[in-house]
Amino acid sequence: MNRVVNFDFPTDHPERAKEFFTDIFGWKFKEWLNEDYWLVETGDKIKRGINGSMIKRRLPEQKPTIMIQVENIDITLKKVVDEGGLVVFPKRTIPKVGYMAYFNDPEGNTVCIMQFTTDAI
Amino acid sequence: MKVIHFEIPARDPERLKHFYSTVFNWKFSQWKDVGFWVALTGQPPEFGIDGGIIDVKELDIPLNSIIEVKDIDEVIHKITAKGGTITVPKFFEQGVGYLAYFRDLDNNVFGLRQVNPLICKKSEAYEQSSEF
Repeated sequence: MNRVVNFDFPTDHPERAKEFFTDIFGWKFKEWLNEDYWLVETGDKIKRGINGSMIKRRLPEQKPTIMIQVENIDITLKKVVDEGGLVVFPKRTIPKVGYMAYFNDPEGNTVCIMQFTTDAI
Repeated sequence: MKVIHFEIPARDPERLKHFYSTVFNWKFSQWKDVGFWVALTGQPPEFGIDGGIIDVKELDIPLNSIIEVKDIDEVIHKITAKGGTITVPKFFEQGVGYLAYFRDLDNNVFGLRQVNPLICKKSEAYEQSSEF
Protein backbone atom coordinates (compact mmCIF):
# COMPACT_ATOMS: atom_id res chain seq x y z
CA MET A 1 0.00 0.00 0.00
CA ASN A 2 1.15 3.50 -0.78
CA ARG A 3 0.65 6.14 1.87
CA VAL A 4 0.10 9.88 1.67
CA VAL A 5 3.21 11.38 3.27
CA ASN A 6 3.13 15.08 2.40
CA PHE A 7 0.86 17.83 1.07
CA ASP A 8 1.70 20.88 -1.00
CA PHE A 9 0.06 24.14 -1.96
CA PRO A 10 0.96 27.01 -4.30
CA THR A 11 1.30 30.68 -3.46
CA ASP A 12 1.77 33.93 -5.36
CA HIS A 13 2.93 35.74 -2.23
CA PRO A 14 5.20 33.52 -0.13
CA GLU A 15 5.73 36.02 2.70
CA ARG A 16 2.01 36.68 3.07
CA ALA A 17 1.19 32.95 3.01
CA LYS A 18 3.89 32.16 5.56
CA GLU A 19 2.50 34.76 7.93
CA PHE A 20 -1.07 33.46 7.43
CA PHE A 21 -0.28 29.83 8.24
CA THR A 22 2.24 30.62 10.99
CA ASP A 23 -0.14 32.94 12.85
CA ILE A 24 -3.17 30.66 12.59
CA PHE A 25 -1.71 27.13 12.72
CA GLY A 26 1.79 27.62 14.14
CA TRP A 27 3.44 26.18 11.02
CA LYS A 28 7.17 26.69 10.48
CA PHE A 29 8.61 27.36 7.01
CA LYS A 30 12.13 26.63 5.83
CA GLU A 31 13.25 27.52 2.31
CA TRP A 32 14.72 24.59 0.42
CA LEU A 33 17.71 25.10 -1.91
CA ASN A 34 16.56 28.60 -2.93
CA GLU A 35 14.11 27.04 -5.35
CA ASP A 36 10.99 28.96 -4.33
CA TYR A 37 10.09 25.83 -2.38
CA TRP A 38 9.49 25.78 1.36
CA LEU A 39 9.33 22.81 3.70
CA VAL A 40 6.42 23.25 6.09
CA GLU A 41 6.71 21.80 9.56
CA THR A 42 3.19 21.49 10.92
CA GLY A 43 3.82 20.25 14.43
CA ASP A 44 5.36 17.81 16.81
CA LYS A 45 7.11 14.91 15.04
CA ILE A 46 5.81 12.30 17.43
CA LYS A 47 2.17 13.23 16.82
CA ARG A 48 0.28 11.62 13.97
CA GLY A 49 -0.06 13.70 10.84
CA ILE A 50 2.13 14.89 8.00
CA ASN A 51 4.22 17.89 7.02
CA GLY A 52 3.90 19.83 3.79
CA SER A 53 5.50 22.02 1.18
CA MET A 54 4.69 25.45 -0.15
CA ILE A 55 5.58 26.18 -3.77
CA LYS A 56 5.79 29.50 -5.60
CA ARG A 57 3.07 29.19 -8.22
CA ARG A 58 4.38 28.02 -11.58
CA LEU A 59 1.09 27.43 -13.39
CA PRO A 60 -2.08 29.55 -13.11
CA GLU A 61 -4.24 26.44 -12.55
CA GLN A 62 -1.96 24.97 -9.85
CA LYS A 63 -3.90 23.70 -6.83
CA PRO A 64 -3.10 22.15 -3.46
CA THR A 65 -2.37 18.45 -3.61
CA ILE A 66 -1.13 15.43 -1.71
CA MET A 67 2.01 13.35 -2.19
CA ILE A 68 1.83 9.57 -2.30
CA GLN A 69 5.00 7.64 -1.58
CA VAL A 70 5.67 4.77 -4.01
CA GLU A 71 8.34 2.06 -4.20
CA ASN A 72 9.00 2.35 -7.92
CA ILE A 73 7.86 5.48 -9.74
CA ASP A 74 8.17 3.96 -13.22
CA ILE A 75 5.86 1.07 -12.37
CA THR A 76 3.36 3.43 -10.73
CA LEU A 77 3.38 5.85 -13.68
CA LYS A 78 2.66 2.97 -16.03
CA LYS A 79 -0.28 1.86 -13.85
CA VAL A 80 -1.58 5.45 -13.71
CA VAL A 81 -1.69 5.62 -17.50
CA ASP A 82 -3.11 2.09 -17.86
CA GLU A 83 -5.96 3.04 -15.51
CA GLY A 84 -6.92 6.23 -17.33
CA GLY A 85 -4.77 8.82 -15.55
CA LEU A 86 -2.59 11.38 -17.28
CA VAL A 87 1.01 12.29 -16.43
CA VAL A 88 1.02 16.09 -16.25
CA PHE A 89 4.53 16.64 -14.89
CA PRO A 90 6.91 13.87 -15.92
CA LYS A 91 9.36 12.13 -13.63
CA ARG A 92 11.95 14.53 -12.30
CA THR A 93 15.10 13.69 -10.36
CA ILE A 94 15.70 15.46 -7.09
CA PRO A 95 19.34 14.68 -6.31
CA LYS A 96 19.83 12.55 -3.19
CA VAL A 97 16.10 12.71 -2.40
CA GLY A 98 14.37 10.71 -5.09
CA TYR A 99 12.08 10.89 -8.12
CA MET A 100 8.92 12.91 -8.33
CA ALA A 101 6.05 13.25 -10.81
CA TYR A 102 2.52 14.66 -10.96
CA PHE A 103 -0.47 13.02 -12.60
CA ASN A 104 -4.16 13.72 -13.09
CA ASP A 105 -6.53 11.00 -11.96
CA PRO A 106 -9.45 10.09 -14.29
CA GLU A 107 -11.44 13.02 -12.92
CA GLY A 108 -8.67 15.57 -13.33
CA ASN A 109 -7.50 15.77 -9.70
CA THR A 110 -3.76 16.46 -9.71
CA VAL A 111 -1.72 14.26 -7.35
CA CYS A 112 2.03 14.00 -6.70
CA ILE A 113 3.97 10.75 -6.41
CA MET A 114 7.43 10.37 -4.94
CA GLN A 115 9.95 7.56 -4.81
CA PHE A 116 12.44 8.32 -2.07
CA THR A 117 15.99 7.13 -2.77
CA THR A 118 19.27 8.73 -1.83
CA ASP A 119 20.73 7.09 -4.97
CA ALA A 120 18.93 9.57 -7.22
CA ILE A 121 21.40 11.77 -9.13
CA MET B 1 -1.51 21.92 13.92
CA LYS B 2 -1.07 18.91 11.74
CA VAL B 3 -2.63 17.65 8.53
CA ILE B 4 -4.29 14.37 9.47
CA HIS B 5 -6.58 13.53 6.57
CA PHE B 6 -7.13 14.22 2.86
CA GLU B 7 -10.17 14.22 0.57
CA ILE B 8 -10.34 13.53 -3.14
CA PRO B 9 -13.55 14.69 -4.83
CA ALA B 10 -15.33 12.46 -7.35
CA ARG B 11 -18.23 12.86 -9.75
CA ASP B 12 -18.05 9.10 -10.29
CA PRO B 13 -16.83 7.62 -6.97
CA GLU B 14 -16.77 4.03 -8.30
CA ARG B 15 -14.33 5.03 -11.04
CA LEU B 16 -11.96 6.78 -8.61
CA LYS B 17 -12.18 4.02 -6.00
CA HIS B 18 -11.20 1.56 -8.72
CA PHE B 19 -8.35 3.82 -9.86
CA TYR B 20 -6.79 4.40 -6.42
CA SER B 21 -7.25 0.82 -5.25
CA THR B 22 -5.66 -0.54 -8.45
CA VAL B 23 -2.75 1.90 -8.66
CA PHE B 24 -1.98 2.40 -4.96
CA ASN B 25 -3.64 -0.59 -3.33
CA TRP B 26 -5.85 1.56 -1.10
CA LYS B 27 -8.75 -0.15 0.69
CA PHE B 28 -12.10 1.64 0.70
CA SER B 29 -15.06 1.35 3.03
CA GLN B 30 -18.22 3.44 2.89
CA TRP B 31 -18.79 5.91 5.72
CA LYS B 32 -22.32 5.37 7.07
CA ASP B 33 -24.62 5.42 4.03
CA VAL B 34 -23.43 8.74 2.62
CA GLY B 35 -21.26 9.55 -0.40
CA PHE B 36 -17.97 9.25 1.44
CA TRP B 37 -15.56 6.33 1.32
CA VAL B 38 -12.73 6.09 3.84
CA ALA B 39 -9.42 5.26 2.16
CA LEU B 40 -7.08 3.12 4.22
CA THR B 41 -3.65 3.75 2.69
CA GLY B 42 -1.49 1.65 5.02
CA GLN B 43 -0.95 0.69 8.63
CA PRO B 44 0.93 2.39 11.45
CA PRO B 45 3.79 2.45 12.33
CA GLU B 46 4.30 3.09 8.61
CA PHE B 47 4.40 6.89 8.29
CA GLY B 48 1.52 8.64 6.53
CA ILE B 49 -2.17 9.44 6.73
CA ASP B 50 -5.46 7.99 5.54
CA GLY B 51 -8.11 9.92 3.69
CA GLY B 52 -11.20 9.49 1.63
CA ILE B 53 -13.07 9.91 -1.62
CA ILE B 54 -16.03 12.23 -1.42
CA ASP B 55 -18.93 12.36 -3.87
CA VAL B 56 -19.23 15.98 -5.05
CA LYS B 57 -23.02 15.54 -4.74
CA GLU B 58 -22.40 15.06 -1.00
CA LEU B 59 -20.13 18.09 -0.68
CA ASP B 60 -18.74 20.02 -3.63
CA ILE B 61 -15.14 20.66 -2.61
CA PRO B 62 -11.78 20.41 -4.38
CA LEU B 63 -9.02 17.99 -3.37
CA ASN B 64 -7.98 19.12 0.10
CA SER B 65 -5.91 18.38 3.16
CA ILE B 66 -7.58 18.52 6.56
CA ILE B 67 -5.87 20.24 9.49
CA GLU B 68 -6.69 19.03 12.99
CA VAL B 69 -7.41 21.91 15.37
CA LYS B 70 -8.16 22.11 19.07
CA ASP B 71 -10.72 24.92 18.91
CA ILE B 72 -12.42 25.25 15.52
CA ASP B 73 -14.30 28.44 16.45
CA GLU B 74 -11.11 30.20 17.42
CA VAL B 75 -9.37 29.08 14.20
CA ILE B 76 -12.32 30.18 12.04
CA HIS B 77 -12.24 33.56 13.72
CA LYS B 78 -8.50 33.92 13.05
CA ILE B 79 -8.90 32.85 9.40
CA THR B 80 -11.50 35.50 8.66
CA ALA B 81 -9.57 38.13 10.65
CA LYS B 82 -6.52 37.43 8.45
CA GLY B 83 -8.50 37.72 5.20
CA GLY B 84 -9.27 34.05 4.53
CA THR B 85 -12.78 32.89 3.58
CA ILE B 86 -14.91 30.17 5.12
CA THR B 87 -16.29 28.21 2.16
CA VAL B 88 -18.20 25.57 4.16
CA PRO B 89 -19.30 26.76 7.61
CA LYS B 90 -18.77 24.59 10.66
CA PHE B 91 -20.98 21.51 10.81
CA PHE B 92 -21.12 18.48 13.05
CA GLU B 93 -20.53 14.95 11.78
CA GLN B 94 -21.45 12.24 14.27
CA GLY B 95 -18.43 10.06 15.00
CA VAL B 96 -16.00 12.62 13.55
CA GLY B 97 -16.52 15.95 15.23
CA TYR B 98 -16.72 19.48 13.83
CA LEU B 99 -15.67 20.14 10.26
CA ALA B 100 -15.33 23.31 8.17
CA TYR B 101 -13.51 24.37 4.99
CA PHE B 102 -11.71 27.59 4.17
CA ARG B 103 -9.88 29.36 1.37
CA ASP B 104 -6.49 30.91 2.11
CA LEU B 105 -5.22 34.17 0.55
CA ASP B 106 -4.08 32.27 -2.58
CA ASN B 107 -7.49 30.62 -3.14
CA ASN B 108 -6.33 27.24 -1.82
CA VAL B 109 -9.00 25.21 -0.04
CA PHE B 110 -8.18 23.35 3.19
CA GLY B 111 -10.36 21.48 5.66
CA LEU B 112 -10.52 21.89 9.43
CA ARG B 113 -11.47 19.23 11.92
CA GLN B 114 -11.99 19.41 15.65
CA VAL B 115 -12.51 16.08 17.29
CA ASN B 116 -15.57 16.39 19.47
CA PRO B 117 -14.50 16.04 23.13
CA LEU B 118 -17.92 14.57 23.96
CA ILE B 119 -17.30 11.64 21.61
CA CYS B 120 -13.96 10.95 23.31
CA LYS B 121 -15.45 11.20 26.77
CA LYS B 122 -18.31 8.88 25.86
CA SER B 123 -16.03 6.25 24.35
CA GLU B 124 -13.65 6.46 27.30
CA ALA B 125 -16.60 6.10 29.66
CA TYR B 126 -17.81 3.16 27.63
CA GLU B 127 -14.40 1.47 27.78
CA GLN B 128 -14.20 2.00 31.51
CA SER B 129 -17.70 0.71 32.15
CA SER B 130 -17.13 -2.31 29.91
CA GLU B 131 -14.32 -3.43 32.22
CA PHE B 132 -16.77 -4.15 34.99
